[in-house]
Amino acid sequence: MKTYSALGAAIALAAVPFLVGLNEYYLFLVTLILLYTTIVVAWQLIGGYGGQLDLGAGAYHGLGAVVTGFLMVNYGVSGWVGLLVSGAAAAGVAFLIGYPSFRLGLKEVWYALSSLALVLILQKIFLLWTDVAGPLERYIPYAEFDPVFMRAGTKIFYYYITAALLASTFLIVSRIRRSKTGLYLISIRENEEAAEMLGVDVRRYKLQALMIYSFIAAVTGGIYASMVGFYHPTLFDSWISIQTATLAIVGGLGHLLGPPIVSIILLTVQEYLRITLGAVIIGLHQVIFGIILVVIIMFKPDGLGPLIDSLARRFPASVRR
Amino acid sequence: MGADFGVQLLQTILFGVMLGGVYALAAMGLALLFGVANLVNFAHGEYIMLAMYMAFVFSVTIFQDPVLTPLFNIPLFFAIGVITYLGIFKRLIKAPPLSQIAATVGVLVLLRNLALAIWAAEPKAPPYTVFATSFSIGPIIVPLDKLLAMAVSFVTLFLLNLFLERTRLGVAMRASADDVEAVSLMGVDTNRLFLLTTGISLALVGLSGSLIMTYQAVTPTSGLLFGLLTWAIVALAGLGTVKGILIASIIFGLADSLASGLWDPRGREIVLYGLFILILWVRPKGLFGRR
Amino acid sequence: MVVAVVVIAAVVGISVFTRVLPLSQPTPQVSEIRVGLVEPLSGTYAVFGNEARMAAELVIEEINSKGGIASLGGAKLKLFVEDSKSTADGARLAAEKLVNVDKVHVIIGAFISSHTLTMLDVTEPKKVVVMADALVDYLTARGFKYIVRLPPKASVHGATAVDFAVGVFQQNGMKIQRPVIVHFDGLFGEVTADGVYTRLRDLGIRPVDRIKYPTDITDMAPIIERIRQANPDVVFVVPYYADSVLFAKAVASLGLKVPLIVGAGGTGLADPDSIKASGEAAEYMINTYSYDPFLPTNYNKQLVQAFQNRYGKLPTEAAGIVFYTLWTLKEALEVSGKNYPDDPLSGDNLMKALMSLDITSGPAAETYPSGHIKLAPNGDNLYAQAVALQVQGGKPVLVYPFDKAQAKPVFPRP
Repeated sequence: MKTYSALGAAIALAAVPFLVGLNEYYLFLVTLILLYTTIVVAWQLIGGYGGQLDLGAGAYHGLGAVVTGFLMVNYGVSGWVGLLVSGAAAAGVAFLIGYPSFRLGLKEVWYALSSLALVLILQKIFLLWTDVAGPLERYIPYAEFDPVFMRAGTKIFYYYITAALLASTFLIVSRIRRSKTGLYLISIRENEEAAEMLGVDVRRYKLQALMIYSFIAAVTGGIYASMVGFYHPTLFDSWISIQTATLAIVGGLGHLLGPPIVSIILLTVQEYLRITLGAVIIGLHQVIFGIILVVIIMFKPDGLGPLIDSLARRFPASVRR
Repeated sequence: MGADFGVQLLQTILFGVMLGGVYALAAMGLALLFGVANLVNFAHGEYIMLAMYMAFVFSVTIFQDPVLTPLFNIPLFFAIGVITYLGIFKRLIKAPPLSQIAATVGVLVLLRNLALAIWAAEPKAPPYTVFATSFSIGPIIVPLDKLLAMAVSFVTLFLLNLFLERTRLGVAMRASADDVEAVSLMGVDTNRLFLLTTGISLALVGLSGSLIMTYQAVTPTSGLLFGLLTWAIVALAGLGTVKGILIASIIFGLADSLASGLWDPRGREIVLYGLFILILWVRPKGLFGRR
Repeated sequence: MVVAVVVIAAVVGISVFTRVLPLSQPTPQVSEIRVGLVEPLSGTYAVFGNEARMAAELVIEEINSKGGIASLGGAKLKLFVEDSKSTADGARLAAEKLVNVDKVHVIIGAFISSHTLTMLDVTEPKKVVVMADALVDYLTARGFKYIVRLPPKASVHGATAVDFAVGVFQQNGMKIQRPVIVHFDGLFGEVTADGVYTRLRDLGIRPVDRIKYPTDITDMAPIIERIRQANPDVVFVVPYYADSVLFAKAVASLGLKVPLIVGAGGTGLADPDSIKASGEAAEYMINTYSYDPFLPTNYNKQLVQAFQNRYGKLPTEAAGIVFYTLWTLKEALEVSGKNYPDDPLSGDNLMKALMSLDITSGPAAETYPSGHIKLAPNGDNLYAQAVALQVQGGKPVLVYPFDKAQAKPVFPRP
């Protein structure tokens, strides 16, 4: 049963490009949706399990884009190497910021604010650091199809990379959730003091969660840069931070299925509204999106996770877990 | 060269103090709500952004001058505060911090997108004011619009301080900041107290939006910048007093001005938010804080 | 096996999404010419994008009402407008949609140079011709084949600003001694400022300071203070829109005394939107433009009048470029229909037609500052020219080139 579901999942993911008729524009959109969903899934580690409302996703995503892009543009280094290097760089930055923060007991609103501040600080640093980025867009050399360099004219290439990334992120997160680390993280979220008194090394687990999440967020940034073919400090985007956190909250903190499902649905709705309404009144789709978010958060503070879980419970047990 | 640099330094310091004076008003609203009602309003900056846009709208449609816009902005934002409290904050008062952040991040998203829809993300530069002129004291230039903004801010903070120390309601607010339970036992209707606090908090935001709009442009992302800046000021000041907020604001105003003036205008956010993170690390309870 | 559920949800969501959207069909025979327009309709540069859109709608209506493209059996132009949201990725996404869904034959855009460059990644492989209304020099110098650009490039704007300033100083028996260059730090700001710098250097003048500010600046006071420290006799400034308003206001409110302030690069300082937003602070500001709304030709007068009647404002940079770009496109389509009747709309044939043009009369020439359009092999106009407008009495007037000027520039600034 388990193998069947996995196989079904793989086939379904693989089929999406054909469902959109191989149209490059729609492929671009579904790839973006899966990219942002990947960050939401990874965010569960720090936010859903660690209980830290992190708003640094834009910082790590941007770092991934800039580092991967820089290596591709300046040294002709393959994007695949770039993804790993930028992931490591992001995890390094996460450590530098996370270690003192957790050690000095930064939490709740102060943690959220400091992670948001990080996005803006990094954006301005790379704006001033003209050797690496600077105010001018940098363009990654064009290639019709070069899988080794990780650059292609068609979006289907990026779609499959992203789909694979989303699937592996999901597997990593679900595995961590069931591991000892996951249990510790959840105990931290429920009651940090109690967890600490029971001898859980609170800082270490929070830091681990933060570093894994920042690594994955950076990889999404690297894929994005290679797909759009340029990088710029504006890719340190606070909106990605806010979007990630709200989608994860609406999906249900700590739920496994809710966040990705909600993220895919809401981002699809957002794109649909953008295409249909965006031309009528610019920005109208954004307002509707905002209202949906506020209403869900106000009336379902636990998000849609419990709802989705109960729906999933109707499936045979083997499908559920 | 030395004399030139001295002049430039003095000029930059003057700008910094003026900026800080205005920031204080914007931060005071946040500190009040956080202190009295123990409510985390993550959307505070978005309200400031909205107040700036409204000041822009009022000044181009009705007043022809941003200086008069507080006449509309203060009551309007008091009302918005009351509505926000009844609609959203009331449910959040007893909620855990994480839920408060989550819900007010939702408000942030809504307000930011509302601004995007109405003004299509267009930056609005400050409309022309009759105070857009300056006088000089020796080599130092004193811009009248900023001087006026700072003066209004100081007077308002002075009055607010009187209100908090001399009136029954103000005393109840201060007491609530220390111990909500006790205030409630004393027979104060905390619901009404928090309602008024939210109203006053946003009325201050309305006024500060008008003042900032006399010399600065607004974009939908201004909310984020002012949000972080005001939170940074509250972090430095702690939740103590009007005086604490004022001093912290001037420190940030100086940092802002010195970073732009002596280093690079593009680096000011690195300095401001870097300072913010350092403060959080070094002084988690703020300089003048009680909590 | 939660994965299955997630993925099924994804598939269902996405397939519903695409079903609901109309996938437009490409039309085989030439009944219409699909013209894409990518402009910043929202965001930082919305002022320009909306003006360009107005102009495009006006001119396309006129072309169609006069019988469309004669050599293509009276085929009409159909406009597809997309918002770049004032971001580089937005422009790219817009190009993606125009090329893959709307299947346009030609794209005009994206006003902001760096945004235009991101579109070329999408349009080049599909051989869709881009007629750029963006000014940075190397748009046409990066080896892309399907791009033309009619307005004067950024360095021409920079040089024009210098030539004007030198001329004004000469007329008053003075020489430029202490110029200062101020510009935003984006691609267009850098390249235009380089144009200013280069022309100054060629004349043997060294700028005393070059000041950069961030594109999203909100407070100009520190910049004005640095200018004051440099004690300049002329300030060359390269702004977009919102920053130009801040700049003008800060110059007024901080009482900066400079004999001459010249903006380079077609946006800000002296167009109607900037004047409206800056109030009295805009007075005596000067800027260079790629279009002269006061060009005294019959067609231009008529078009400016039609534009003002419909939209209530004077067309300047963004509208002007679209005026002559669309009329040039019209002429190219006529040629292509005559010379390549089998496939008149292919990128290659359209480019050949554009390259063969030498326009000295008709609406395109009558709206172009130099009155002459002929493309160099790289796609730039050989006869590109920029003009300068100054705000006098709250209205822009032409002050350069001196031989065409409506009024003498006010100098020095009071």
